[in-house]
Amino acid sequence: MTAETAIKLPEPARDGFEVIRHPAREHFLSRGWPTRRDESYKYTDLSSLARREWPSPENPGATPRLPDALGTQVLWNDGFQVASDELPAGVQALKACADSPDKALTALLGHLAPEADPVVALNTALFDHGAWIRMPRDARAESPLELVYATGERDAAVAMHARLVLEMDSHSQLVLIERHAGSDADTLSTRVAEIALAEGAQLLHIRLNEAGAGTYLLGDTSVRLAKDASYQLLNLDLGARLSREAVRVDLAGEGAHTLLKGLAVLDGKRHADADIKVMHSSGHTQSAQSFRGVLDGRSRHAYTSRVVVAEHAQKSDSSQESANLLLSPRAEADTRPQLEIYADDVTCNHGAATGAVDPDALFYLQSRGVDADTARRMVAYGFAADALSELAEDSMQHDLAMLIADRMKAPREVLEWL
Amino acid sequence: MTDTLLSIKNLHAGVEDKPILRGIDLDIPPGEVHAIMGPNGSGKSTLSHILAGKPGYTVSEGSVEYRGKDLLGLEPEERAREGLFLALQYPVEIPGVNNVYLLKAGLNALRTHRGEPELDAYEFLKLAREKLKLLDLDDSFLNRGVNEGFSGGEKKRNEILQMLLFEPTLALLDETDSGLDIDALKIVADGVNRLRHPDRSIVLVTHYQRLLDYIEPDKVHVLINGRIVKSGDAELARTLESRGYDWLRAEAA
Repeated sequence: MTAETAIKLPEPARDGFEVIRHPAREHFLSRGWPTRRDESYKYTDLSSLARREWPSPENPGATPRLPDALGTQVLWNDGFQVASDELPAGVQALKACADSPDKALTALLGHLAPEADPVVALNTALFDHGAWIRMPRDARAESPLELVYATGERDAAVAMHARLVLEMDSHSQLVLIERHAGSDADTLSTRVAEIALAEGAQLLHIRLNEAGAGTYLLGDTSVRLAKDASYQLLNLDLGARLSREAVRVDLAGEGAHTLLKGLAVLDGKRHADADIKVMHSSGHTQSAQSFRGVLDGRSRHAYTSRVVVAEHAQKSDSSQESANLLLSPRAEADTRPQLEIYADDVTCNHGAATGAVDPDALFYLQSRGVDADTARRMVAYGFAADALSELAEDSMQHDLAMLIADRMKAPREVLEWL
Repeated sequence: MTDTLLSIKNLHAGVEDKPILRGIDLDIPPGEVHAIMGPNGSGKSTLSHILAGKPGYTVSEGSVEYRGKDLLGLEPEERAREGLFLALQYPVEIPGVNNVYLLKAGLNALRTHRGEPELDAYEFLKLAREKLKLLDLDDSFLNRGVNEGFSGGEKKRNEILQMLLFEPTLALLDETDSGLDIDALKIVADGVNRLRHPDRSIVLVTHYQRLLDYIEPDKVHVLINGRIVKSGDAELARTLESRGYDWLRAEAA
């Protein structure tokens, strides 16, 4: 019996997206779940997930306890939109567009995400919720937009598949938060985002994984930037049983730039994998990456980063940095920075470091009267807080610092100043 | 014995199998300023590290009594709470941990140990700003990461800032003068002189006599090859400045 014969998928919805759903379904069924033999899934073992059936829920579970909102919220519980009076300007539920999707939507949907990727294919075949967002020219959102993908309180294992398509017209600005939260119920949660930024558009994208202990989170984000556009990502993995986020950024227009920051705070047997690809397709483009992990227990953090500088992308500038703090000898960090440079006039740097808490730092704090446990937690928080440096949005600093500090059990000597 | 704050007897210590201190005897009474001088590699920093409880050293013989307690049996934080303070030669950079976290946490740990109420953020900041002014430091100093990206002079002033806040009973300054220009040296010396008090002792560990032009010591000890080979008054420091250490090396051999 081959793995393929074991795969059972629900039938795709019969809606206006059928034209892309069927080929995606066929692709997934013939190709099967990714395995560790697939280069980009080398560090993430999905075999236990692949052996199981993941039906779509007929009804949502009870609404779970959710964290305080960080912006104007749109909330889905087990993939079902939780009634809100009115969606924020420019936001439409994908379900509402499904009967006759407009051309601007179909021009992007399925076109930016890599269709060959099995998780993307699965999502395309089955996505049942999500949003289509358009920011008009020069528009500036007053408050952050927060999309919450919640796991309901229930006993049965279910799958939910979210899709996001975001088009930002020239010189528009947005802070977008995508948040995974909810109960510890067994859940397969896939989410694929396709984002197009026109000239000079600026997006701060915060992916906040606070998912429960039973969630397998598989994400894929594709971003295309026109001239002088800016994409900042903060990828925070604070929850989930397993999380893998693939991020593909195409610096297609001259002067486009991106800052990708990540932090994974892991314990127990949690697993987080960030698989990054940045394409410098035009000249004078800039990319900077900094990914960190604070790893306890037997957790594992993988960071793969591939930067490609095309032949004509002269005067491009890229940096890749990663650092992991190991709080336990059984935790593991895997780091793979890769560079492919076809241009000759570029600046590319990378650096990686993995280690335990610096004993000199511990002694220094202790010699000032701070007990060893508090000192250790202070140093670990300080290491993690780097994720928030250079963040474009000052108003988010406090809330995000509190989320990280809470998750890390930062001592009150730190909390009182945040 | 009640008139001795710190009493070191026949202290032998080293790193792994390498002996560094070979029988130190030293008594420091309350209210006095002592200078420990010596050439590079004589064991000056090892001595101050061992007194503060830095891990990595092995004590093979001897004892250290501080305020009637066995100092070597205490954790570093317990020593600090008992009023011992070491200003490090190379203060450690701790990225992301703001100076203010450390300063308030340290001060309140000391206060709690002394049976005094903790300071709240307002009271703490008021006190910290007073001390910053004395050291000619800007308020923004509090919100920078501990020693993160500090210049050499800023690091040393940060040590003195901590000392002024914590008001230790025994302050050890390990080469606090090294790498300072003359203006910074005066500011540091002024900070130390402010702390002079009949109940407090100060130990200056230094290679050069320069700092002693601004802080007049009561006693000077010369450490060579892990032993105190000569003790005297401030005059001894001036002799060392003109004659160097070689004549004492010859005497010690």
